Amino acid sequence: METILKCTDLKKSYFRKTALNGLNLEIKKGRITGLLGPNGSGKTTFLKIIAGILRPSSGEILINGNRPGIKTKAQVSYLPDRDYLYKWMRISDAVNFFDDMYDDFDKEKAGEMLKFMNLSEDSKVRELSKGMSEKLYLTLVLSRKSQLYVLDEPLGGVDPTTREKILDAILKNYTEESSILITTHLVSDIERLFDDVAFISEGRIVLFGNAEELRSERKMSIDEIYREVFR
Amino acid sequence: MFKFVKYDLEGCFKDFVIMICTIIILNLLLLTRINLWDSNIIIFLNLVISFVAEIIVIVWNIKLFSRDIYEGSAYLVFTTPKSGKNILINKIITAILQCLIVLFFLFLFTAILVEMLNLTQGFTFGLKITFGRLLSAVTPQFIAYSIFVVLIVYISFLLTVYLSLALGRVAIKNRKLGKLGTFIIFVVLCIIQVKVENAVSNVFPQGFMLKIFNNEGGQSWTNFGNAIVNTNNPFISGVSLNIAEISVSLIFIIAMFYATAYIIENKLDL
Repeated sequence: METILKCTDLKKSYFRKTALNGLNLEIKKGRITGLLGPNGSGKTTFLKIIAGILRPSSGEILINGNRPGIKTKAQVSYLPDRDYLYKWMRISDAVNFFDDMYDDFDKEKAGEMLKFMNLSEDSKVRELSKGMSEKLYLTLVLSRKSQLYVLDEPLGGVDPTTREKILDAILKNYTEESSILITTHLVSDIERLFDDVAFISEGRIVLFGNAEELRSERKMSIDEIYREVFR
Repeated sequence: MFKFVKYDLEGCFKDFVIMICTIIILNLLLLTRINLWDSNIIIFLNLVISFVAEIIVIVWNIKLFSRDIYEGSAYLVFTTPKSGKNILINKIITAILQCLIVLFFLFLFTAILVEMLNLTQGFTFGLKITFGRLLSAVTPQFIAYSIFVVLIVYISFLLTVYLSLALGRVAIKNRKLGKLGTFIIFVVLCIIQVKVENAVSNVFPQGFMLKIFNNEGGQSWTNFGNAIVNTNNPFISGVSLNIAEISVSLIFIIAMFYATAYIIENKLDL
């Protein structure tokens, strides 16, 4: 199976703090990988490096054989864990922005997803609730025909109904041609999506494997394995 | 190429409408004061309006870039597959367009006000020459040079600010300290530019004279105005331009453009 993302001995330090400490990870094409770890384990730092908005201190990261940069930004669809749209925008402006900036953006698909998410194109971004914002951000990110989707806490702060809707949207839009890397704390809600799971602690991968194999080997759910690993 | 311009202008559309409406209303109020107030006071207040409006535009121009460096929209802008040069050129074009649109309205109302004051109170800026005649007397080379200089000076100012912001953001992680650091970097960059330009113009004093007025215009000026008629008067002999100084200014602009573009593309950690 083709490798879409490969990290070798990836390190990132901020003055005295080490966020990533020799991270090694390989993600294959067509797989949904869960990146699980407690707060401050380096998940967001790692995703930012993949998105090309943070530089590693050392080590190597290759996306489709290229270092993060303009070329890989066209291949990676990144969902940050914060509000990032201009406050003056309406949903239609945000859709147009993505359509203008990304060649792989599918405006028709975005329209369909907005309907599925019960979002009106006329709504103002600043008037959206947390859950509605999450649904909008996910719509924008998943409406790109990217090779790698990088989702940082896509379920953060949303109610269970919205959570289900978001998970359905991820599954509905996933294709064998793309890979998804998801970080979350809500392991039990999302674990049914995972093909592979990587557990990260103190900036390095402490456990990686096929989700189904891990479940049958340890006779536990991924959520239970998570609790055991980070006990 | 210029896709960010569209969204940056759209983002400040409401501010623009408020600003232009304010300029129109305040100038209309000034028009109602003709024959009631002294013409010098009316012109002074018009200049105050213009000055405040220009300050606000400069703040907009700076915020245009600082917002995308320090706030959440950085994730929107810097995750797009656009180069640092592309992002930067879009910011500069937006800033110049913001400036030109506001300047157009300010110039329009100043011209209307001066013309109205001329018709009603005989106001002539202290010169016995009309604005139209003054413009027709100026050489096309001088007009072209003036536009060039204004653009170069403003782009140079913008790039100095943007480079300071980018350096401040990269060098200092703390947001408040970063802004103080940005200001210090800005002052240092300005001092370096002035010192280098002065040093180069002293070493290479070669230059040329650019005539301000054509022969007929210059004659009109000396006949009508209060200017002292002698060969050192720049209105007659023209302005002296140092080639080395102009070249250094252009080199600074190119260097600052590439440095800022490189930093935002390769060094900016969000």
